[in-house]
Amino acid sequence: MSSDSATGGLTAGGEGREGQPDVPLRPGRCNVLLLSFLSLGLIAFGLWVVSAGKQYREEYSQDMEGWRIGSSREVEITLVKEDDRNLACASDQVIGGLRCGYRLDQQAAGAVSPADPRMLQPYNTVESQLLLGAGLWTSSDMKQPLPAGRFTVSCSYNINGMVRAAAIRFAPTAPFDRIGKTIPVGALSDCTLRR
Amino acid sequence: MNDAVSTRASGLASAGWKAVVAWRPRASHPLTGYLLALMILGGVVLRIQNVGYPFRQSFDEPQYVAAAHQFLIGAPDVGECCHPPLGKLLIGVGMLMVGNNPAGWRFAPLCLGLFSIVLVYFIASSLFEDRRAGWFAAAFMAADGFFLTYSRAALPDMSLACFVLWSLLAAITARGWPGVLACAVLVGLAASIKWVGLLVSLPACFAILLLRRAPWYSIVSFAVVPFVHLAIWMIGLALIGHPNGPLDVLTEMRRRGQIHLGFAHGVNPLESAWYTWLVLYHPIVIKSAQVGAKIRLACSVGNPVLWIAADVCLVALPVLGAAAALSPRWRERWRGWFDVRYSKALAILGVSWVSMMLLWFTRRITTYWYHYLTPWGIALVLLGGVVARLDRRFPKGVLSFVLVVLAVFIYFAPVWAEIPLSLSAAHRRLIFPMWQ
Repeated sequence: MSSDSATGGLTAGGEGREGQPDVPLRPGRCNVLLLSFLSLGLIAFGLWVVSAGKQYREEYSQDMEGWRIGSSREVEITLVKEDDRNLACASDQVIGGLRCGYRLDQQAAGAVSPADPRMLQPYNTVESQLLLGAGLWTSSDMKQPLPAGRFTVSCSYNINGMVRAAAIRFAPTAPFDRIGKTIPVGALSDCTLRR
Repeated sequence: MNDAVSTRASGLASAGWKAVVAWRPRASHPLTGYLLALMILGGVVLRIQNVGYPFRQSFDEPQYVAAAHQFLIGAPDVGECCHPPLGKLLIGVGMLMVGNNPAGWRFAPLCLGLFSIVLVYFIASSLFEDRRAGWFAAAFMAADGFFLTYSRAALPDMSLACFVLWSLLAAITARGWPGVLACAVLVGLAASIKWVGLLVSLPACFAILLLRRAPWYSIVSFAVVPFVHLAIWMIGLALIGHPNGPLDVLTEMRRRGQIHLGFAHGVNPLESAWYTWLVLYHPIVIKSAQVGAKIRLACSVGNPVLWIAADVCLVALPVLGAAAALSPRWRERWRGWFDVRYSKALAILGVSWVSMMLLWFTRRITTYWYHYLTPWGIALVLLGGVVARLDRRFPKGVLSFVLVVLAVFIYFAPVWAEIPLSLSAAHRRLIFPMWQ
């Protein structure tokens, strides 16, 4: 490869207006193709560092900053109307009377019904934060006819605790996936449909 | 000792600064250079910011992410019906590096989207032997919504465009057998993302023969293309536990080819004929999400100013070329405007654009907006070269053009990069119903 692209092509350009000769800016050996491979490597490494850093911050700071046990916050959640049956979590922990529909061994923990205000389900907020919440489907707005497509609800989220050993799924037939991080558990109330 | 270290450090810093100054975007008007740098910086930031949003899959992403996941876990590839494995394997590499999450799904297209900006710089610089052509081309690609949106989606189209551009760069800079062989390997990889990538072998051979920097007979190296393609298939089939001998690969290719050719015209409302791409008729909204009262959109409509300018180049240059070929008077004029080197660069880019459109001209298969991504990258290189030439004669005119491109880039950025905005603001930008 070293014999290839000996003068590379990155030679001219300069500042000259019309009529002025192009001045070679880099007369030495410059293998553009190798330079392009190097650029791709640098871009991939840089992006990987940026995304790994972002992921690390999300994992270790989300539970510490603002998401404190006993606090309340406004959350926006995007849903489809089938999510009352699509979303489920599995955990052996019961926090403040709230529990998942399934135990960690994936056996149903009693009757699984979204109408149960104590049954936890996994939700993603519009800011990509995963949480376990109970009571969303019992809000009065959610008992009205819901939009056919994706919609957003705004709820008050009262954080009762944190859970680490849990698994979640986003479709009734999908297998449960273990969550590799600590996420908040709480009650969702005053949910209003954003129109 | 400390003095020696500090002297060395300041020497290095000074050398680094000199390199930055020497390589910064330059044009005849100093302000143009700064605007180009701003466009590139803005394009890079917009591509990277919130790439993990939305955290669900949109448009065709479920097919490709599911297929990539199947390659990673060794399950049969039922996620995606019709394409060779490399595009999905690349998405899988991103998922290995960053995780099976939205940022992981979109990692590889984002890398290759950013890399494409670097590639068009190298292609235009090398082809026109003028670094300002490279800076113009890179800035135009950075400030274009079509490339921006596809850099942020877990789809194979960005990867295909990138490998096609990379193959062209290899052909243009090849000085001997190793360069031509590298070009052939890249062509094989492009064809292993989507079969249409094979067409880049035409302009690659044309460039090698026209530029005469490598021996003409070195194009024999293109014999490795089918072997590269076969190797990618064999790796892909092995990963999902299928029989992966050469005959098994042929059977699988034939099966997928039949599915691809079997799609009926006029069924999918997103379908669009190739000639509509030239007038931005039916771009696709590849992501959309409601955020409270606002929406976040990724509409793949291109930068309209760049589109018009590139269309003018694509129409005017062949007309002028034909006039120069037929009339001695126009030939003299052509020679006055363009030297031999520049004419060859225009010819290579023209052949490249036409070659990458050949399959779509035939209308053998159903065509969609995103099929124009690769030819559009070539059109942007052409535009970069033309504007760089005009910059020498009309620096103020080019400055005005760049200002307009930048203004349109800023105006459209929210509907390209999923920045929250109101529905009415989105409709003001996406004025035509087919854009929404």
